Amino acid sequence: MSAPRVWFETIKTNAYFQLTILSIIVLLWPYIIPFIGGYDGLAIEMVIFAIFAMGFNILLGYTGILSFGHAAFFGLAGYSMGLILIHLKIPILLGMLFGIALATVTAILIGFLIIRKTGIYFAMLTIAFGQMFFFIASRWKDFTGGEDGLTGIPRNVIGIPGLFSISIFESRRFYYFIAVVFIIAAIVKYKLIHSHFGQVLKTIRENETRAQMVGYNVQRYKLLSFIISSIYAAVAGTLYGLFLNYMFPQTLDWIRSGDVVIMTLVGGMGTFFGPIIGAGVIVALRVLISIYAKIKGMVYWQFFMGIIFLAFVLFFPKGIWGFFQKRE
Amino acid sequence: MKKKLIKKVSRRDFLKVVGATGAAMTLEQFLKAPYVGAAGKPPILLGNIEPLSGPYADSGRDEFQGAKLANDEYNQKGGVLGREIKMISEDAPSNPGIGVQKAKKLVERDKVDFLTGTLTSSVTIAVADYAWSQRKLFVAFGSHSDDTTMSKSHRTTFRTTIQNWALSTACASWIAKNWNVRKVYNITADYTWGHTARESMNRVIVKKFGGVELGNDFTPLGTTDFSAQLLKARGLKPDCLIVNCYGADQINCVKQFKEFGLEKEMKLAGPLSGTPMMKGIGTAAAGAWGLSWHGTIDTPGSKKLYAALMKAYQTYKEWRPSYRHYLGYISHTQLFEAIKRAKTTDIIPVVQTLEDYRFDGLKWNRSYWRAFDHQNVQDVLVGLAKRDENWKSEDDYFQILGHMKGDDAFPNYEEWKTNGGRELEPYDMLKKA
Amino acid sequence: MEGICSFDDGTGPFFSWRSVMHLNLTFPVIITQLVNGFALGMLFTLMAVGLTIILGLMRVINFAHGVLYALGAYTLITLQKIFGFWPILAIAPACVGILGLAIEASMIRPLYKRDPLYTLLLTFGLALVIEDVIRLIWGDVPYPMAAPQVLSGVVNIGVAYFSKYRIFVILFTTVVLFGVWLLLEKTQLGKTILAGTFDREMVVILGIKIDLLFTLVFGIGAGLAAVAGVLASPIRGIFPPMGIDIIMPSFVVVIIGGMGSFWGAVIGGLLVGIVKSFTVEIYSPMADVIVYFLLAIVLLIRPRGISGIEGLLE
Repeated sequence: MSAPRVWFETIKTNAYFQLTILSIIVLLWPYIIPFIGGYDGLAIEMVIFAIFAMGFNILLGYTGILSFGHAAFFGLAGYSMGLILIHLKIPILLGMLFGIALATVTAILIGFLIIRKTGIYFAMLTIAFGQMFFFIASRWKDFTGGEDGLTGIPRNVIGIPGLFSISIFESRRFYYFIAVVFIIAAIVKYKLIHSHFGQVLKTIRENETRAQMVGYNVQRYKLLSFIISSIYAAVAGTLYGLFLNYMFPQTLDWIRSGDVVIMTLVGGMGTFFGPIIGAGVIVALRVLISIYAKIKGMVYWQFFMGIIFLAFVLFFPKGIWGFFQKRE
Repeated sequence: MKKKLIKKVSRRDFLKVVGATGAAMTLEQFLKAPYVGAAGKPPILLGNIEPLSGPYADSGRDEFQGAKLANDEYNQKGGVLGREIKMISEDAPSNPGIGVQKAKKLVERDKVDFLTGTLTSSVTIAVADYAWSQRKLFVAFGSHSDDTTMSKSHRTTFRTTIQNWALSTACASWIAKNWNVRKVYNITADYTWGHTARESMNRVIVKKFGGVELGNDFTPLGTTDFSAQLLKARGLKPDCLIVNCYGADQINCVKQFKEFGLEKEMKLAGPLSGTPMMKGIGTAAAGAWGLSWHGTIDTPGSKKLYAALMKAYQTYKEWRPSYRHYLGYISHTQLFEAIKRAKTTDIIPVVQTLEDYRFDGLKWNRSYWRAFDHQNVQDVLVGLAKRDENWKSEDDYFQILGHMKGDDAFPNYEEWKTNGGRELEPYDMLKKA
Repeated sequence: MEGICSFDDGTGPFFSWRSVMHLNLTFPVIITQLVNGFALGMLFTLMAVGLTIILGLMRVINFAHGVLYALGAYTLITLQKIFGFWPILAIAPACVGILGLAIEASMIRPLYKRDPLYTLLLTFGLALVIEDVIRLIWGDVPYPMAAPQVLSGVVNIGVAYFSKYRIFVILFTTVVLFGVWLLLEKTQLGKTILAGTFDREMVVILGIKIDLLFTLVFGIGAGLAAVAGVLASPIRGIFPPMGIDIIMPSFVVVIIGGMGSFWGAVIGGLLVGIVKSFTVEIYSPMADVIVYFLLAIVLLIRPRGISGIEGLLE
């Protein structure tokens, strides 16, 4: 076999290899991205949404459940972290933990209520809850800043008092903080997917009744999948709040939830790298389209995004990564 | 056998990656050639953020055009400090996340010297916070929200638009004095702008003139049906209905006011309106409104700007410049003047020379950006909306009723402080984070 | 954290007692809101009937219904100068209906053999694209649309006022819905549709061309949405994202009424419309959320809805 062929085969099979390459690309990304007209801010946003999409894929791609309300956990975590960091000057890591914990508890409660429903009922319930949070965020002006949003989320150092303290104020440094979080998240997901747990999820996706008959407590697995995906959403949400130093209600609405569905599909549902690529592509497209794709001086990014999305739905349902690799 | 292959590929691959990275990094340094202007002096880069799509695209475009006119005028005279003015324009339709993202792109990638523009208050506040964190001067000329120079003020933010407090004060004072309005009914858009508008209107009519608010209705943004509120108002018989709404809400409310025949029973007024609303309201036009600028102002400076805008941008017979053009133009012009006075684009000298400097704001009295809040204090107009057979051009949407001197309309220092005014950061904090 | 529960005139969090106590529920106000709610509800019903049949028969969740509604309204803008208001009530549904036929045949039909998720994603993507196409053609600026002269103004019966136009909406929608009911109950086509909602395989076995049936049903749904759009224009104004405001409540109506059920859509529509109108009156900040509360409650307690078919997609 020729060397490139061997190289290709190795990548396709060896997991550690894949993860290592992924990690290297992520670590070098701020240096690569300027070649496509990108900058640190864009790179950061890509990685944040890659984390979101990665977790969402566990629910959609591997368990086969569609939720249109995950942005609620994203936003809830971001807002609660932001609020506690603004009002109680606690370390950032603690604030993040608080935000993630709050969102996760909410996910557990909601998941408990709705997990028995399937299909469109489930999707509509997720929209309902998502919209409720959206309206809380945009109307409760005194608490959340309302339509104006929550300003002044601090981002100076992360660390454990007494042990270490690293500045993350600068964009580049913040990127590396996020990159580390991303790599950890990717490894965790990988372990999950290739464990017994992951296998059960795939069985449920293929045929829920059969999984039930074989003896698995299907509801419990679905609930866990839901919760885990919302933890990823929450982590991404806290990072987003730190990134912008700002949270605003639109991060919670069902259209934003739709974004992550698009990312997962375009990237490749049910594949490991799919959602990561999908997130990168969609984030980049959104920003780049609004800079370069102008018709008569006006920007119609929704049009271009929609067309690309439709093309994928109709012709490339396996997504970008799915095109290259069979679904797992 | 397989293991050995993998090991071999690993090392080779590692070298490839390292090599590629090294090449990429060197290439990047090479490609990042610095901006060099024609005469060897780098241009002054401005980052202008406006909604160029979405429901506010009209206003955003007007602001952009006003700013561009100022840029062109100065470039024709050789630039500022011998440097060309270059403006990079970004579209941020009312989503503050996109606004901040665009601001980041302008500052981090394009390395602009100054940020200008924005329209909706949420975008303005978010961009203002970001500008402060980067110690970049931001001239905001879209938002009317009081917060921008009160509770969310920054040493780096300068705001040209007339804040709600002043618009309401001027309008309310005028209707109280000229129409003898003492009993009012408020219809208020249920968000920050609406709430502060109503508070200001009430402050003048109720507290200053001893009037009374007979009732108030909060309407969610995007309300299209005001029949319930209007009928309630009719029942209570106020002297004047006050519409604390903007955009489509204002259009619908005023149209229905006419549709239900209420103009025979009470007056109509509101703190803020403009050409876009009047276009939509059409023949139902009525009411006294607060205005920032109007094409029919007869000061020499204003007429000159009017002529220049007509020459540059008139696209159809009835087109006339709007107050957004004025805001963009005056903001950029005065920024350039400040840079000239400071003889540098460094932020501390420019900020200091902008503060309290009196200049010709093309109205009757001189304008200035106040030192304690960076609000542009200027004359506030009150106009009567009308639409009759004499309508010939967009200028005829409003007839100027009068104006109030800035110092009387804007909150003074005590009022500013009691209503949430946040002291600006000290100058030495401007020396980088 | 001061300011969490500020009660300054109802601008606090969700609920402010002071605001509720300022209730102004006099008889005229109640009548006005009933009429408003009825009219709004009828619009929801128009949308929901189309949605529920498409869902029941074809298992397609049509997120694009909102933009079809918007297209109906925009046809009004373009063609009003030529035809005036009244003919548009027939022309708009015809145009949008034909578009609906085209969409179903070209884009949705190939996806039936796949997971139902894909038709949902397709309609979602379509909604994004068509909204921007609307922007491209007609611009971003909201168009205020006036009701026809003869219908503008109020009817004053002494004790209360009614908006003439809203009464018209109620009457006209009733006529349209009656027509739909006739179609469903009395014609062969309608009976086939209803049968197909219950048992799709049976319909295929009986030799009925299911493809054509689906296309037709989608077209009818699109036409109904367009009518709703035209009728809604003088009330809600015309602007590119107008579909977004109406699509969610319409889905809520479908579920509350029961998927696949005509009468469910009617009753559900009126219910949601009236609840919404009264919430606007009593405590307006909650007006948008109340719909989702209703949805959550119904889904958790009686997912099949008011008169839906048990087990349908449960």
